[in-house]
Amino acid sequence: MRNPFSEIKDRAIILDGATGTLLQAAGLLPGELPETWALTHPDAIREVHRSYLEAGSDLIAADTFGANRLKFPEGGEFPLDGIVRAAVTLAREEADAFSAKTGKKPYVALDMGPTGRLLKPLGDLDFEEAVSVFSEVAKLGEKYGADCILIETVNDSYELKAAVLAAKESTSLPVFATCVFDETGRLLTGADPLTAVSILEGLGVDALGVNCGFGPDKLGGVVDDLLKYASVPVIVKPNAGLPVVKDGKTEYDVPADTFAGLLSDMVKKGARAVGGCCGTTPEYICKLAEAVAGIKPVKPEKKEYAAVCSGVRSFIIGPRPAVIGERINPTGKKKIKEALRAENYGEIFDEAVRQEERGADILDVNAGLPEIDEPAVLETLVKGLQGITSLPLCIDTSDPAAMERALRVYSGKALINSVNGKDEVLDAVLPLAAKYGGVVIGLTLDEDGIPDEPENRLKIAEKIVSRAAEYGIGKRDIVIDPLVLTVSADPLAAKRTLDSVSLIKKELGVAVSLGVSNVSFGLPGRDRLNSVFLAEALSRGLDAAIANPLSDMMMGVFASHAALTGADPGFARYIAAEDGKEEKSAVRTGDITLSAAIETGLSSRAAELTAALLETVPPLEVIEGYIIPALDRVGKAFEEKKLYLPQLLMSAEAAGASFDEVKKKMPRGAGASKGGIVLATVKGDIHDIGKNIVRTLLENFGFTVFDLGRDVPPERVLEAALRHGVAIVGLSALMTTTVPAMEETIKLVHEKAPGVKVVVGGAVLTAEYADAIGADKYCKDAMETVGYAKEIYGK
Amino acid sequence: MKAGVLEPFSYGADEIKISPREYLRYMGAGAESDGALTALIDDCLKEVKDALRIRGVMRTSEVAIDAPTVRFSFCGIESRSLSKNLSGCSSSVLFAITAGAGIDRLISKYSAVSPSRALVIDAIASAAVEGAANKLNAAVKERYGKTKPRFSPGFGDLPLDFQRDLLSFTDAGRRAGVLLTATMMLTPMKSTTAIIGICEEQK
Repeated sequence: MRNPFSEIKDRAIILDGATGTLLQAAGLLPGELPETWALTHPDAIREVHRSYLEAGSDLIAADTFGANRLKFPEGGEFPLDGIVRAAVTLAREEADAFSAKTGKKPYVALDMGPTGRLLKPLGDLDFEEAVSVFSEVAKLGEKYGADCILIETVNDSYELKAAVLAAKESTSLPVFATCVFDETGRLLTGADPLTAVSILEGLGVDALGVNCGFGPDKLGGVVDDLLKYASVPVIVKPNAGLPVVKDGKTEYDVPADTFAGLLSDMVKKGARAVGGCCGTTPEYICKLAEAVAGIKPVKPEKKEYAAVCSGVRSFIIGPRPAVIGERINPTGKKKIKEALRAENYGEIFDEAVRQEERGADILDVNAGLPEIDEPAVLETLVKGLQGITSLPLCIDTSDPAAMERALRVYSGKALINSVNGKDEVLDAVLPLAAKYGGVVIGLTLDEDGIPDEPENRLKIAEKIVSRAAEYGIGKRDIVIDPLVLTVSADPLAAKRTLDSVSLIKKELGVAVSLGVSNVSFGLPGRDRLNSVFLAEALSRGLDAAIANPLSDMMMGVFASHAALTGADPGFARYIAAEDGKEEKSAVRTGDITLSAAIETGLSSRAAELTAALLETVPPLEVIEGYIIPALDRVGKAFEEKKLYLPQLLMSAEAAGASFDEVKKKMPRGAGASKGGIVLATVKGDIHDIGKNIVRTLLENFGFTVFDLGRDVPPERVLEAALRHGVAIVGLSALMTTTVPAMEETIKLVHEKAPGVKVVVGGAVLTAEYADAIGADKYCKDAMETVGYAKEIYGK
Repeated sequence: MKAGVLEPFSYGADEIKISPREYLRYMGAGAESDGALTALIDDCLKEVKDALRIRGVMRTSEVAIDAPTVRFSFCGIESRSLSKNLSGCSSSVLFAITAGAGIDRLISKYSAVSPSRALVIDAIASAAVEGAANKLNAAVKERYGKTKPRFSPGFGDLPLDFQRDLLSFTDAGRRAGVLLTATMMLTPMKSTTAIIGICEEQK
């Protein structure tokens, strides 16, 4: 195994330039796949490699950029294996020939570009499928003699993770990854440089950087950020600027001399490897090699900040303490328990968005219920949550299998909750943190329980830090939680915890976190007690707390602490927190009835009025006498075209908010469901706005909806229909290309679940079309679907 | 046949026109919105503008029409409606444009917690993509003179499969992040592609 970054130490490493640009000049047609040239025009490919080697490249990339089975499927004109073998062999042979001639020993990289499809949930490619696509190529690259793997031109952080994970898992080669940043300094799916660095270093790449996109004239900001945050070597491989037509010929607007000059400035600042992308030629590389020849490379420093991230954004822990939202946890929460059991995650997504809106920095996700398949549920939950919130997640489970599945599919670098001083736990979880990346929370308890004395809690913390180091996990990726016990059980409990915070901060210098809410268990006025405890802990240097972001008092403590310690310059967060409170009370103005609030779609007002009404009116009467009549009036007005879809939905949501209040007061089992309905957007279809509207209305009218989401395979629809024993399945499809999947689903349901009715809808469908594919019913809109459900369930 | 260079571009949210008529139509609202809906729309407009990252790429290609075959520099395609649309043109602009992945994430988020907001944001985002395509169309007109109405895969008898060739020709995945699903849907969802014929006599 040869790694240029550990072998070339006296100067910058020179990569090669564009392949496509040279092949186009040699006759590659628009739309023709350059990888096929390894088989059809081997001499042209050799010429490309030779010219870059002669120009001074230390590393050349094989012609395998788009070589993957999505672009070269089995049974196609060009076999994938043949392409990779030919491409790597050509590069290898040219490198060896050059070596024989000059004594230099150039490196050959397997080049891996993006799959060409967007990953779920934004697109339709499953994460594991992407991993498998990349693994296949990576293995072939290693087999045919590549020295290393260069992942390039990726513009989605989730795909980046799939590619790096595949390369690391299926080969033993060094892995380098570069991505495309746009003029706002972000990947196309939103990640900024810090987020890309966090994900890539978490996965253990040997070097990272930027390629393509722009010329070096416009990449300065991105390169500065990469150098600021990365602890591994940084690669810069820009375009020769932007293409322009000059005298009928395509040229790029950054000439070779300027290109070389700008890149050598970046080398002086710390870039360790430089080369070119679109538009660069051997001339560029030659001038680049000359320009950087005398510059002594800067050794990358190990950075000390601690960051977690989602696929989109990062949070650096400290100096402002992190609010880790605690509410996605079934312990003591009936609604979350029910949601997990029914695998109906709407309530959990609500909770995520509410916490985000109230200022949480990170969301804790716990799906620990004894009777469910926790690994499967946690994986699904993480996939769902990362589609709707951009906050980093804190994966909270004591089951290592569940932890692995969640960390694997997570698009960012998670907070891992948690390990403790028990060897069994450390041995199970630390390897996961090392493989997938993450910041590990370490609880100060071990086989003997939680020690009373702060000194003994420190000892356990020290053990966790040293065991983590064995796996290459540095101090910056560890947060110690010295544990809060209930003061009502032991009056000294809180003091011991606070002393432990001070001691661990002082002696070990790691970040410290607490789950503060435990302290008040069993006592009245919990919010106040928790808040004072939090303030005490923050004053001892606490860096993060797992807390309830919906508590104004708790959030007030966080905001006040930040404002008083200089961690909130300009008081932006402090003022925003106060403004948030005012907005809530502003809604209270105006005097309207519950029916009017529902009919005009004022959700928070409807909830308040319902709560007030429930003081004097029994729950069932509120439903029958107020909510349902209001909904019926709105439904009727919609059917008569007196009001329109958005107003109908707003009313539905207001009614939903009202129902939520009623449910709090209802005895268990009362107000039973009118029947269950499974809803799904069919396989291959990623549009689900129509289906969601139908869901909202059905729920409003008292039906229980099992929403399977979008891009749902027929078997899953059938499985859910059988498991929940529903009488109706609703399917949605937007385009003609996905109607066959709808037909297939209908056939399967009718065959294996006879008697279950299938109702369909969606932009391309008509009653005739629905009939032709065997549907039982076509509904033109959500209200008609409600009518059909009432008919089938005989209400 | 000749092809032009790849021309990536991006527009700021304030550079495009988001037509109220369009988004009200997309969300299935009447021609005018009432109080509560107007407030919701205003709020959503702000959120959409913050999340918009309009990026696109265009590239010219010569065309030769031998109805029903239309030949571009990168492929030929059989389509009577496209032949008709491009009649009298010897050159064309092909482009892909997107409102960005952030918009899709916003819609997903509200689909889970507030379908009315999701509906309104979805509609505004569609109108924004339309507005961005209009802006590009105007720029093309300004550069090349008289043009034909823009024409997208799936219109008339132009097969949806043509998306694949169009995206590959414009290198839209790499330059703008516009990709296809296995079922020929564009991703991010709020994206569009089209062909604009350049009228010969005006060139």
